[in-house]
Amino acid sequence: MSVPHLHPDDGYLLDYATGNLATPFAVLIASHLTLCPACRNTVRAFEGVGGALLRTAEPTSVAADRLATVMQRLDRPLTVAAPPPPPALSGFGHLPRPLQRFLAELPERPFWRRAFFGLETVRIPRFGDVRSRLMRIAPGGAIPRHTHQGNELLIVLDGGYSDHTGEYDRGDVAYGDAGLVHKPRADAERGCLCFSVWDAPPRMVGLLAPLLNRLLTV
Amino acid sequence: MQVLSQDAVAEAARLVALVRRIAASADRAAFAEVFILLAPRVKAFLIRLGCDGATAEELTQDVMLAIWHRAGQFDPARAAPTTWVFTIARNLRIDRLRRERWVEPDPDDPHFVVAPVDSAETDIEIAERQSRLHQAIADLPEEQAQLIHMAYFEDKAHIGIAAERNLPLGTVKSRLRLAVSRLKKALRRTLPCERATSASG
Repeated sequence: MSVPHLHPDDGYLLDYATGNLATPFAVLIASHLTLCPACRNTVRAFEGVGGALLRTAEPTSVAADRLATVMQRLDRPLTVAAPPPPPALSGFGHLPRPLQRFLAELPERPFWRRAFFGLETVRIPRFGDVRSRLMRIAPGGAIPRHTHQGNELLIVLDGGYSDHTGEYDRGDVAYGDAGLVHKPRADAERGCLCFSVWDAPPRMVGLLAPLLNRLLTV
Repeated sequence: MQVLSQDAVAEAARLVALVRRIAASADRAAFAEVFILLAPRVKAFLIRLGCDGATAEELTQDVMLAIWHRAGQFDPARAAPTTWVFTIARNLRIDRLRRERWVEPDPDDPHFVVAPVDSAETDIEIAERQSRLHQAIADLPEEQAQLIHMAYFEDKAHIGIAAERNLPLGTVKSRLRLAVSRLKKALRRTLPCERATSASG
């Protein structure tokens, strides 16, 4: 299987390794890591840094009876605050597992809906300021020229697309912000299935902008 | 170049042996030793991350219990013992403080792309690799070290660091790239690829 050739930059991998990414961004990064051994190595390096910093931390005294307390609890099962991961969601089995689990945990069952011009989306509730959605563009379909607000990451999950910045295939991660105005076109045969996460809504530019912006807003 | 710290290598090898004993035979004496070695540092690390004393103490207890229960999942070829403990502490912190689950790739996922398999390393080689990483961190130029430090101890995403330090995001990203390439070089195995190739050919 081919590996992705466009990767999230090291900043996102560092934020992932230190636990500083909001859940939808973490889901996108974990989906890329599923497909990309090279980035898993980078994350491992960052975790190694965490381990080294832990190893060299100046020790702080722990309560005198703590060891005894812990020893007494060894035979009890481990309690975790978060519930166990849900079973996979039917209809989304072709997605990397981190994304499947994310969809399965949403308060309402996700479904595809038609947006416009051969574009279908799955709306996902906001996580704080962070929004995300799945998109499916029909083979050869194009998204009208638009720009982005805030920071947007997108991962291609099937098929691919191209714009003036290049070609994006399965596993590739693209980055968008206010500086990017583009008109992506989906792969002529397979179309494009992708997951995007951003911290402000994308903005259409041009005549139909107000209408398109409303359609694209989650 | 500084000599690798023999203490660090010996300690990592000791921890690997102890965690293996916990996994193999639920060895309580081994666990008590791991606790004495690591709990004070786990607590210190959590306090530096911004936990108050009581929360840090409680989380430390949870981390130690997780070490006991998950010792069988520890794979010394994948991570040094303190790195494994770091990931446990990170995940528990997210679990307890944010009530969210750590999101990670699943090696059993049919989509999971496997890297070419490495040949096995000895415990000493693993410990030495970790020790090289420590050295590489210590040798980072100030501006890169500061960035890494903020990421780990001030709980900030890299975009937030750029904003706070009044640095262009591009500068933060390029400093990080430099830091990463140094750290990865330290982690790269000085392993006998040639030997492996000639043996198979």
